[in-house]
Amino acid sequence: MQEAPLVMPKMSMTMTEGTLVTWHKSEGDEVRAGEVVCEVATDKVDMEVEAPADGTLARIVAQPDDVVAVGDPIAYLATAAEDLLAGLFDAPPPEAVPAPEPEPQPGPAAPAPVAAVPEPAPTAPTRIAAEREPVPAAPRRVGAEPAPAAPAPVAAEPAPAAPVPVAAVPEPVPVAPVRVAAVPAARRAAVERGIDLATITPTGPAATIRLADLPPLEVKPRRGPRAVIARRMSASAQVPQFVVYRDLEVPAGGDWTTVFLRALAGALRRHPELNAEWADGDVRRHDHVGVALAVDTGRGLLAPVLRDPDLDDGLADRVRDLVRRARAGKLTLAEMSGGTTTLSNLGGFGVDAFHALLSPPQATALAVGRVQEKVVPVPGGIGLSLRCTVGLTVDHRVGDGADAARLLASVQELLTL
Amino acid sequence: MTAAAEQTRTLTYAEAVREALAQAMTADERVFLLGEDVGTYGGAFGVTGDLVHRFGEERIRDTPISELGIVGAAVGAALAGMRPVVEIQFSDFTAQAMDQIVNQAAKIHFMLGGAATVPMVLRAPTGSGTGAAAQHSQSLEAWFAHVPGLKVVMPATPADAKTLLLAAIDDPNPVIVLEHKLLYKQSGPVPEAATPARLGEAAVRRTGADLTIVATGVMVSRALEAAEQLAADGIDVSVIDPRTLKPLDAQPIVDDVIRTGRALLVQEAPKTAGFMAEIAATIGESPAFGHLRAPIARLCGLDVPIPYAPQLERAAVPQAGDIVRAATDLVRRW
Repeated sequence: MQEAPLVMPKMSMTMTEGTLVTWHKSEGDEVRAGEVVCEVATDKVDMEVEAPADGTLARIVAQPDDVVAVGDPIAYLATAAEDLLAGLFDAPPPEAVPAPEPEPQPGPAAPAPVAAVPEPAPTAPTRIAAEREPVPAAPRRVGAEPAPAAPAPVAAEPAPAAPVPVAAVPEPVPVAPVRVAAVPAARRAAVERGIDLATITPTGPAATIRLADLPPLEVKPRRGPRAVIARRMSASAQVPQFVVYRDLEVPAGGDWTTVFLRALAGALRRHPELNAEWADGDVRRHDHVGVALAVDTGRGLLAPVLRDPDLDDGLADRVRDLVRRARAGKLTLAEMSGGTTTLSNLGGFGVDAFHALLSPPQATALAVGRVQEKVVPVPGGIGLSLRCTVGLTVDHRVGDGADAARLLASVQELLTL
Repeated sequence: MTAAAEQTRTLTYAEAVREALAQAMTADERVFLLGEDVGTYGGAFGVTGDLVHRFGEERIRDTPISELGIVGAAVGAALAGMRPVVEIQFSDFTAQAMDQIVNQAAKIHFMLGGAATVPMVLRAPTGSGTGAAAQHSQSLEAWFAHVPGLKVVMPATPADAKTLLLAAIDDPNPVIVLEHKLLYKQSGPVPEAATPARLGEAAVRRTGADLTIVATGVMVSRALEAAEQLAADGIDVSVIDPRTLKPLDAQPIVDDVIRTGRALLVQEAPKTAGFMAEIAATIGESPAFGHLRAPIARLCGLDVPIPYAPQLERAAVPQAGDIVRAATDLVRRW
């Protein structure tokens, strides 16, 4: 039986770390190959991690909310199976993480034959103490006073009655607990943070651990959509973008999201110059249209991607299924990637019109407001028309206002086709 | 700001002491002064000045050169219901009066079960810096702070010189007020009203993030000067002046060290068995211990008699530059 690490899987090309969400198994539980043992979260998606082999979940090392680098162990599996990791990673194997062991300490030297003069203090021998050089008793700013003569060894004292056997049978010397030198604040912080001071390299005077020697307080990245949105939208703020609004005539129907989704995708297919991204100083066109659909979920905003929705006859069902799974947290990674534009519809909330930020590197985003009947001029009088104001946000590096206007004209055309 | 606090004038430390004496004598006929040359001469450092002309020789009493006799007379007068204020020309000369101070004044209230009190004040110029050599330049506050029954005050500003002296005169038991010679000519705002301070209340002179400096006497102004230089170097320090060594108000010190994690204790007196050792131990015994991110450091006078040569005299006690260096070292290394 060997112990094999269960590692944080790499579930996308860009994934460098994942967050442990929950364990479905406990330490000591039997697991079967392919059985789900835990869930981890990437940027937006929770993924199930399966046991790579039959065995027993021996040790869990990552707790919920722990952020673990790809390839680092999250648990250890006791298994009879061989070579669990074969082919799992092409990268060099992750740094082995053995169970933390106390640093090997030189055991205290066997007690030397006791001299008549007592040692200054019978402290437990430590590595630090062993290295410490004799310190002058009281540092003075001026050596005005003559140093006291070194105390002469009191040879006259009789030796202890029972002579200490020298080179006696070498018994295993019990290793004294390590007392590392550390300032009180470092000790306190180490206890609070669960850090073993023996693992810290002291840089203070007299090999003392300073507070600054402790690893910097890890600010746990807030996991989940909020963190992703924060990161992406901060990047978005760096993109020169503008918004073009247009009041669109909408056909009677009802499933506006599907209607707009299809129209936006179709319009982008007609205007490939905007179905593109700014990369390396140039506009790079995409060979597919991917519409990221902004979905309001209990965990925050998710934007699963519909690939080429304009080519899909069963789009409405696909949208419903995607929205349902987004809200259930059951999206796949593939469904989270490949967006070339974003559609956000707040019409259902009664919003008339709004400005959506781009999700870089996407070059466009369409913000859809409320669809409602409006009084409009018709030949010979006034009439009612189903209208909706949309805002098209465009990366100005990729396209101009006229490009945006042309795209919106196509959206209008496709809506009423 | 209270009305009393608004009514301040700029006085020198010496003038502030004189004003406190005059106000106390005006308010209470039992208050009288005695000491060598406090009358016509106006005091060795000019502190009593013209008081003899304002209050007369009965209340401003010149005495023979006999410190033991002066303090003995004061102890007796205090026991008899008077409120004597003794001036010893140099605090070094209290050595001559130690038996009366330590064995009589400090103990009578205790030994008589509280039936008698010794409401006596002993003022004495302390410290170095005036070229007065070894027998006129010592800082002996630790001697007195060590004796149960004595209160010890070290005013660092003109305002404190006045209000702490008023508090000392009000106190029913002996109080030693150690006035620094170098401060006598320094000016500062002094309240006009005769409102005493409270003995046992430290002053937080400045609050900083990196280091707590505790300083007494003339070292308070040097620490504040050093704090300015340190601030320019990006080191932000607190300066706390205990003002009363005994009773000691340790809480502000402990609280500040909990914040900063570092303590630099500065005194003019020699390091060995000095008062800052008491402060260090107090911090070490307090909840601040667990917050220490550096060893508690002391910056003190050398363990030498104060030299006469001005350069050596300066070198024997901490100067502002020494405080800057010690503080920088403490913050940068830890």
